[in-house]
Amino acid sequence: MANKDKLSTKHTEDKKENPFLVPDGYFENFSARLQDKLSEHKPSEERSHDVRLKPYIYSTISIAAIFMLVLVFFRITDNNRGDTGLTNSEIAVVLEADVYDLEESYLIDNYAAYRETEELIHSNEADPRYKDEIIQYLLDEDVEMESIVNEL
Amino acid sequence: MVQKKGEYSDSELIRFFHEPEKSDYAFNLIVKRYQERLYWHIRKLLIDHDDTDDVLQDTFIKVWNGLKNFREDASLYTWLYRIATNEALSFLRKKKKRFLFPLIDVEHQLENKLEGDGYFNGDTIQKMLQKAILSLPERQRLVFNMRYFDEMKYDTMAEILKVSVGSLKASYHHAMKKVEKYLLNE
Repeated sequence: MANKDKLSTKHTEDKKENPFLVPDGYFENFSARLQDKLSEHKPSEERSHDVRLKPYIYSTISIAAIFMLVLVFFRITDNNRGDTGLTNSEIAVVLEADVYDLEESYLIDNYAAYRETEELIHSNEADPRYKDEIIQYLLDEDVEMESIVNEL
Repeated sequence: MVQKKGEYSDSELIRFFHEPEKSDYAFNLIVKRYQERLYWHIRKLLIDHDDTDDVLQDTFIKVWNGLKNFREDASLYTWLYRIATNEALSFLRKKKKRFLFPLIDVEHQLENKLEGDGYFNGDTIQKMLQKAILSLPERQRLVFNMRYFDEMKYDTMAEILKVSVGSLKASYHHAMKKVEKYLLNE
């Protein structure tokens, strides 16, 4: 080896001898131990067809299991939906935003009830006693007379 | 490559291996011829005897499986060294993956092994030299061991590691400077 390839620290000179040891008889027995390991290895090659199939079976089962989990998840989520077709969380969002985006079918179903309520209010409005009651209520609530006149 | 007088050449052993009735015999002769050289090559990288034993066995199992397709584009010696090197490096990488925290690095663990290893017979300076080598990056450590201890030619190293001679020379030069610096600071 060229001089430039040698370490220049003087205390490492002649320190190239191997400082590692092996157990007694290691190299003498290595070949026999390797043959044992190889013989374990060889039968596995013969049944390699089964071994090769297994990963495919496992991955198919895994995919099926994931698919089932997704289905179950959506079923559970659907069960949370009420008559409006909205989930609890969707209803919470709607209420929070103060937006009532009611479906047309819902409005049609409830139109009769709406009409009854409207008629009741208008019939009450026609009654002068109802008007007096309102005026009295607004006065009790310290609403100014001018505002009460404007409202009525 | 390490054929003695009256022994079969590597090419003859490979030819025997391809004959079904002689393949076990030929393989056994190949193992006996190269086991020690490959063992020490792996041992210098892994430090621990048991780890080296496992990797050497895995290396020869790969050789057994691959020898039927070996077409002597490279010499048997080069091919065996390449397999042993790859097995040792992938063993180290697997070991590194096992440690989630960078504080517990594999090199530090190997250094500790050196301290308490019953199969290390070196004196203080040899221990220091081994620690200095362990402080090198993986590739430089490999090149340093092959060049410094095995005194392997750059051409052969280039064939085994599949890198250019120039880059090997540069790696070895950097490694030497780092080892010297480490030893001077100790």
